[in-house]
Amino acid sequence: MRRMLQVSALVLMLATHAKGEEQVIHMTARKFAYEPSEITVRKGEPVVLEITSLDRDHGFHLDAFGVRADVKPGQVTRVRLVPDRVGRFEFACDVFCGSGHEEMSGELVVVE
Amino acid sequence: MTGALHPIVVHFAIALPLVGTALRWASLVSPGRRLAPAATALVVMGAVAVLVAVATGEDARVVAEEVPGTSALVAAHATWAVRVRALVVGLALLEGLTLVRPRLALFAALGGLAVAASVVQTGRLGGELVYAHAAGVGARSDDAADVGQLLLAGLDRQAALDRRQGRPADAAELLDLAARRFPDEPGIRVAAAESALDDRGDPVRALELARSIDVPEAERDLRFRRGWLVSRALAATGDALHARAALEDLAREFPDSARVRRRLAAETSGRG
Repeated sequence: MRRMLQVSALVLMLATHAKGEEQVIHMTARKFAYEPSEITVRKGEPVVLEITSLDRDHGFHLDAFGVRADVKPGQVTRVRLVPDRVGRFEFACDVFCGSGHEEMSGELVVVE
Repeated sequence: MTGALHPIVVHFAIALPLVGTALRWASLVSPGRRLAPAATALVVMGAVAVLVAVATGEDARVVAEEVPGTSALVAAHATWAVRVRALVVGLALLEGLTLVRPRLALFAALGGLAVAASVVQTGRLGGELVYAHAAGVGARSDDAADVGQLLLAGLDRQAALDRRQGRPADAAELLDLAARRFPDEPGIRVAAAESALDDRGDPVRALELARSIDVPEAERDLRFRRGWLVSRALAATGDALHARAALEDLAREFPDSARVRRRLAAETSGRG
């Protein structure tokens, strides 16, 4: 299931790609995981992550790009970034959400 | 009467009249008539609980009023509590009369609504005192150590808020203070060590602090945090070799951690 969601995120990226167009990726956060947990984007192209919580308050912290936001249930948090380098970058929850919080993380994969 | 009983008794003072009123209403319709004696019993017991709650509350209010900014709220809570006492005693008498005059049941049901509304309002104010103003800390145990825990919780929670609101220097200051005042509390010391790296950008200090903390085996989440911090701080000092070794130690201690596996894979491939 997880693999399917990751592939879906990649397909979505490719399907909506147009030079200069913002790519919008929908994510959910719940104790203690993000879905999708791996997101692939292209270097230099703007991406908007629309994140909502399925249960309680969470955080979204992508340290490598200086991005953080609160993610609340019933609301959509929009995080916009333009990745300027290639690599695999961890994002993680930075709002304590229970025992298991330390595992709540994912990866932003930036490709050429 | 000792204020230490107040936090316990209030639960009965709230639940018993409410459930009793619900049963009284149920008893008004045919299938529920046999609930009438139970309704009376619960309301009478609720009245006793309210009497004890008000008496113990008088003793407990001193602890609550010591917290700055709560005097108006305490006064409002006490005023409503006295109203509830009068109403529920009256209701208990009315309920007693229904045993000999069942036709009074409807009046008892209506009176129960007034009691229920008053109980809910009183409980709401009391809850605000405890959960929004922390005015109940120390009331149950009469132990100064409880107030120390309150300080620890306050410093830790405020530091987290400061960081999220873009004030990392303030967060670091609060956690330093907390770690100094509570040197036997490994959780706050780990938080202070993390803050040294994340809020102050000082990986050397973060490592020094992290390595000085003895985290009990049972504190799994805390052990993970310390190990993760050690690895990050070593990486931040440029010591990639020992950062990886720290990750490998963490992977051995937490073999199910996808996060550690992912990080090790990234280190191995030189990505990220």
